Amino acid sequence: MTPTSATKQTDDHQQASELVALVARRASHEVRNALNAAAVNVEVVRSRLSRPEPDLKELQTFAERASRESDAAAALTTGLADFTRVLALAATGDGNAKVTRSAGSTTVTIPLCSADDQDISADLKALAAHMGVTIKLDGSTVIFTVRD
Amino acid sequence: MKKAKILIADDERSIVEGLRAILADEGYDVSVAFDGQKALDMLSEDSFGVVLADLKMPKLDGLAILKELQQKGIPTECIIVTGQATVDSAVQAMREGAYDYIEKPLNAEKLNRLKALIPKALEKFNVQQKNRELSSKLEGLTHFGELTGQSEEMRHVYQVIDAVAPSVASVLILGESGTGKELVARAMHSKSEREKGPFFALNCAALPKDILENELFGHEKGAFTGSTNEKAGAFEMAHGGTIFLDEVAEMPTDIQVKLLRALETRTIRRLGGKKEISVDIRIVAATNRDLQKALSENELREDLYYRLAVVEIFLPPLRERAGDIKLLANEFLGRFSSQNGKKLSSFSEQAWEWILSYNWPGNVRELKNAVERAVIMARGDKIEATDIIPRHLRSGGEAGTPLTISPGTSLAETRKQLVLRTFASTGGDAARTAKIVGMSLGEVNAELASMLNGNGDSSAGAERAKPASAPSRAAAAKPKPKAKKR
Repeated sequence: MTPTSATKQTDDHQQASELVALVARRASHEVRNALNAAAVNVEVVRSRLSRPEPDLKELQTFAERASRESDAAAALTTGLADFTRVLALAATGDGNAKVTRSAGSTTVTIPLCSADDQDISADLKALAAHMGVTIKLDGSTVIFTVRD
Repeated sequence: MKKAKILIADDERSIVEGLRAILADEGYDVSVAFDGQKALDMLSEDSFGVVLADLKMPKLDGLAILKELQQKGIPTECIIVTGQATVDSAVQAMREGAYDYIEKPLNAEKLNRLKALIPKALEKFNVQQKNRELSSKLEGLTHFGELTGQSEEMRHVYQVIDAVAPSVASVLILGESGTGKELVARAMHSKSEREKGPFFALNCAALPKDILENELFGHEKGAFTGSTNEKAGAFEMAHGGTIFLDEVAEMPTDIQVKLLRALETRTIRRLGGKKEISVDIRIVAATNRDLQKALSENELREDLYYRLAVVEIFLPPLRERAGDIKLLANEFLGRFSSQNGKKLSSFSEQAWEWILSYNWPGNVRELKNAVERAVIMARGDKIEATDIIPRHLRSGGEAGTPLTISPGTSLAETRKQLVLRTFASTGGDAARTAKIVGMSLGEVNAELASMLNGNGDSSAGAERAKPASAPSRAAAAKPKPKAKKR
């Protein structure tokens, strides 16, 4: 039985939604990881500061690590915001998403409901790279490639 | 003290470095692995009390580590660190045997929880480690204190005794008569720090109420007519040691109340005395009664039961530890042979057959008595079936040992056996034997005569009583009158 184009469309739409949700989950995991690292290192600083003679040099290492991780979390959050912007433009609702599968990855092409001349931000690129996803915006469509 | 070893398995370096510092500050010896496979390798090579594993890791995730640990039987307690989105898998982790899970982000509150969680996990690990060592130590152990046995059941008993002995917890030993309840109590005493203190055993069923009370609590001078001296009771005399109360369910209920009070307050008052005397004792009680029945019939007070049975030890009947029968029989044989100056080294095949198939309702005590008697009776260098089978059991009939006739047995032999067994079961009444088997008295007497003359007697009733004597009923019956008594 060959699927009618209507059922193919519905399938693609569902797969596209699932993949977008997966990317969103991965993104929030990345943000949480960075925040976690920052929190843990801040906690080291806090508890060691309460010692009678804290080793300040050592504390600096932990403080810097915490700061680096919180910067990373901030950048990832910006990337996540940009991701949301792109998703808002993508008309996933009208069933026009196309899903193509190749060895090791799945590509989702979603037409944009309004033209977007903005490029995706470096932060989103970084976030995407973290998650094993590439995101391309070519004026009228957005293309996600998700590594398995 | 040696630092407890902890392994952190996480691929996020910043998190690992932070956690390492925090846990090192808590006084642990911390190692790290940046992926699951590495973590598993380290766990296989070294012993870690706790592993803190991230649920999401390259190569082998937290769940897969758990499974591998279980499969390989690597002892450790696993705490899973998970992101909020994966609580479902955390629950699954618990099912797979994780000690607990903790959600990211590990802020101050979560880290405090983690710090509280680790000592508990380590305690669990240590207890289990001790159990593992103990059970491997007990592997192949045949003796424990004065107890003998290498069956699974007895090993479990040893393990409980070993674990409980050092504490002051009250212990209630359950088991049929003759299973060795007092030996357990003695082992409990000798493996404890009270070893140097007294061990005081009292049978609650053997003494009338007033005397039991007096024995337990003692009395002051003039407490009752004739009490011209003061007397310390068992509680005072066992001070610093262990008191063993056998057949505790037979204790009159008003004494049970006093016992309960003594257990709760650790003080006693002598009969007729005003002074509270504080006592440091460990109570081990025992009963062969059906506890549920004794409780429901109010023969044993429930509140006392809960006080006594902080730990319960069940001693299995001998028939349920068949593997120990041979061990015990050989041990008793050795013991009684040397006591009686005999050189008996073994049991005959028939003797073993019977020993191993009998159900020993009187348990180890019955076996011990049977072997002791057999040693005294035995003439050769082996114990024969006839030496060990008690007289009342040799006689078939009401004692219920059927007469076995294997194919190939001649009619004459069968007839002989039948007559002999029946004769024994009637207590040596030839006339009744004749009636039961349907022979004439003359025929019965002839059979008996042929056997007593050493003719073809194979096993059962071979009493070998005065073989030269005449086949008269009186002579043949001589050893029998006690046959029914037991």
